[in-house]
Amino acid sequence: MSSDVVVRARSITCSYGHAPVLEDVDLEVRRGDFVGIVGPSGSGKTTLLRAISGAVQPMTGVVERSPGVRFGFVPQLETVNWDFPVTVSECVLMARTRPLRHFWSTRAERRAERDRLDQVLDQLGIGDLGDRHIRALSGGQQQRMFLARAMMTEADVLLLDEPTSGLDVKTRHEVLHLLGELRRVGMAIVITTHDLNGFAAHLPTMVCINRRVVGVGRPVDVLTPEVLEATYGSPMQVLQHAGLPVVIDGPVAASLAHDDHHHHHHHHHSHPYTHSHPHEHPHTHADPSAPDEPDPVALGQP
Amino acid sequence: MIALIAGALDEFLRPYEFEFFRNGLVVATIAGALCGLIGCYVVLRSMSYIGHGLSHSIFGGFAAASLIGVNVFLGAGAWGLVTALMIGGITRRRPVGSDAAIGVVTTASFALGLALIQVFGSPGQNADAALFGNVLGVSRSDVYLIVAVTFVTVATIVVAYRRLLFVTFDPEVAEVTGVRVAVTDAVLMVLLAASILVTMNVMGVTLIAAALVVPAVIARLLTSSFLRMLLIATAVGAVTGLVGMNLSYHLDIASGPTIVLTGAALFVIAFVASGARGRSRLPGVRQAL
Repeated sequence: MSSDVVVRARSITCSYGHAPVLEDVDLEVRRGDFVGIVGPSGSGKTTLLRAISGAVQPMTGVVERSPGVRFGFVPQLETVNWDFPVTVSECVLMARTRPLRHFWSTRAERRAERDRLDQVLDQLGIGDLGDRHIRALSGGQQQRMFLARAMMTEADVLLLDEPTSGLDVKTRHEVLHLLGELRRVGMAIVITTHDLNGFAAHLPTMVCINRRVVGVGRPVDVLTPEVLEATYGSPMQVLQHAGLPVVIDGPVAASLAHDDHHHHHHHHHSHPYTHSHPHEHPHTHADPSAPDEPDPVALGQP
Repeated sequence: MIALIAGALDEFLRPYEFEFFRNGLVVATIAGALCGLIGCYVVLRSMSYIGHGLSHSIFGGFAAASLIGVNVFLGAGAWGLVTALMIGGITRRRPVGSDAAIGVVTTASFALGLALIQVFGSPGQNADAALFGNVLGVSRSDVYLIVAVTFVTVATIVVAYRRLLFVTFDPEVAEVTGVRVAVTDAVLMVLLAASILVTMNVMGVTLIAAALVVPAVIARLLTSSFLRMLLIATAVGAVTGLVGMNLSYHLDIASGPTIVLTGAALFVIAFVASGARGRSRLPGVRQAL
């Protein structure tokens, strides 16, 4: 495999019982890639992440990983046991395991690790929270704590499961920017998300899956009504805003399309949906900070 | 007054003249510390039912081994190991009703032990000691054995500290990140089985679960840090064993119940002293109780 490819799934099929959760899926991730996986619930997004890392073995097909590649994983916040007695520092360090035969660290190594920990926590803006219990953090801080854990392991591939769920818009943008920075230092990033407009549309690469890969490529190429309908099983409309595709789901799309076709049959202000002007990203629920959108250029392919 | 204090001190120190008491005291203190330490993992993984079942299962192996004349520790140890790995396998696959499967395996083993003893007669007071805990059966070799198991347990926890923590905190993410979860789980089950085996004589089969759970719960009331929880639970377990053994002699009650009651008293003190803050930490262990 090319030296840039860190992990490559070749027509993998995964299942937990009878019906396959993933079928005949191909995916290639290179150094510095930033891939968003979207699809409806139960479409196999999380399974694909787990298969890439090797936690799930495909029934057929293979996953090739470049030798020595390390994975970092940021779990869905909802799946974490927040009552577990562990401080932020302990949580960030737990993934940093050493080979058993080198279990004993020297004083210098311990100091270097401590310094690195302080540096990473500072970088992520949670520098003075190291001794807090994990539940004492806000959602965004918890997300950054898990990012710190992945950074401490010097992960080559960072996998994030729904990193945007449960976060407010501002925090979501902070996370997106942070990931952009990590990517620039060579980390490959693969996320799953439900958030098409606020997150996936800003990424360089998107994969739409529904058990199978329905579409893969740049958001502007992938986010088409055809691909979206094949992915979600319901009709969707795609608008353009500032060079980015904006997805509007079923009923809204229908009504806007209706408006477009029958020029001013009824006045915009009278229509219940017309306040969702295309420029306001109707799908990013009551998103008041549209001007605050992350810079697509900063995240785009170099 | 001085005579009174001297008299009390004399009364307090009297049992220390006997070697069986000194051995028992050492074993009870180390057993308490060992159970407190390994109990943190048991409690945080909601495995206290497994600890309970495992001790009962080991009793079956204990009875069988003493009847056929095999070394009790080897026989019961092998039996416990097999059960531990079996339980580990059942729990890992998490089918519906794994609790029931564990219950069947372990209580059947316990019942087999009781039946064997009733049919072929008790192999001496060892069986009573195993059931209810008794220090009279504790010999010098028991002391060495428990010291050895404690050493191996502590060494394993020091070496694999982060792996064990990661697997306990979030096994799925640990797997993704490259920790071999199945191996780590198996190591923990083996340590648990060995700890139960060597503490059985002090605590008694029926009360080992309490020795595993109570110090960890007390520690959880007092801290939200994993490392501090391990240290506090170990210390609480040791103190419980030490105080409980002394009380056991003076009150003339078996060591197992006395140690567990001492632990329960410490729990009440910790519960009251830690106040609302401590109680707010309990959801993490509620499942274990």
